[in-house]
Amino acid sequence: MKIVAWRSSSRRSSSLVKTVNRRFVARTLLIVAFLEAVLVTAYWTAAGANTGWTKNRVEVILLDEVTGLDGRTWENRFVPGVELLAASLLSGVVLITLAITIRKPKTTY
Amino acid sequence: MKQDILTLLALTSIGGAAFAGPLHFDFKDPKGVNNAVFKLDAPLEAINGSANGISGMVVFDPADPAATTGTLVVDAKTLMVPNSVMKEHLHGEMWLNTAKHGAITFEAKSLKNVKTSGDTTTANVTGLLTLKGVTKEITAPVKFSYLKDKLGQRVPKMKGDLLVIRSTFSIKRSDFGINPGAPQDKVTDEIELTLSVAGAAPAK
Repeated sequence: MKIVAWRSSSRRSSSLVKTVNRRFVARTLLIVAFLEAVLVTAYWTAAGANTGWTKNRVEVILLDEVTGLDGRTWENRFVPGVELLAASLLSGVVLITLAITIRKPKTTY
Repeated sequence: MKQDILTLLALTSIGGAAFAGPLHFDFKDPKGVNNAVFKLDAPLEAINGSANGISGMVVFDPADPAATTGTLVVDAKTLMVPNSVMKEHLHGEMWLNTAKHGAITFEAKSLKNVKTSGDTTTANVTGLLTLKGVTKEITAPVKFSYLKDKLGQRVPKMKGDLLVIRSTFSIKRSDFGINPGAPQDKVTDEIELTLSVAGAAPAK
């Protein structure tokens, strides 16, 4: 009798641990998704909010005063594009979906 | 005696001006300002790039701009775009195949509708454009700015003249076999080219 009561208590305790773990993982995923979206958006904005594709060099124009021509040279500089922003936001959505799925308790009938 | 010397000087200068003749402008620019820009429309953003490996020789007579002839060469290997992968594609076999066709040349044959105002001449130049090994005759609007004795301002200790040439025109990439299979809703067939170059004719 005593053994049965102990087993039942152990099962309840294990289930409680699992629920706590699920909540912890889900919360962590939500925080990661939020941080990722905020940081990548801030980086994209700070880098010039480029609405085109990602660039790894930028054209620099210098006026030649004698001829009036625009001299063009290229400077190596990384400028994130919209595809990088979209990928980060999409991965954020995936993490949030995963967090909701993990947190949701299983219903048994 | 004094009057004779003055007359002689005047005649010499008039003769000099009359027989100045055509000037040979070298377009190998030591300052690297000369450039050719291209633009292709594409979804999201236009593909822009430029090349600064320009050379060539143009014969320009300030007294007779209509007689201008010459050849300009763009080193295709100097073509740059903002993205490394895009540059690889651009230089690859499907697009420009710069390993095989390293030069883009334009040979001016004749000028029409020549209008000169001061040091500036506008005209329509007809010539042969060779791109990716294909040569086609094209006509493009062109603007010449003749800058007399301005070479010294660009290159110290040198005397001579400068000639600035500007031109913007369009070609079709399918005419020159530049990735003709590429869907036109992704990259347009039309390529807009802008040439901005300055040549020098050192005084002899």
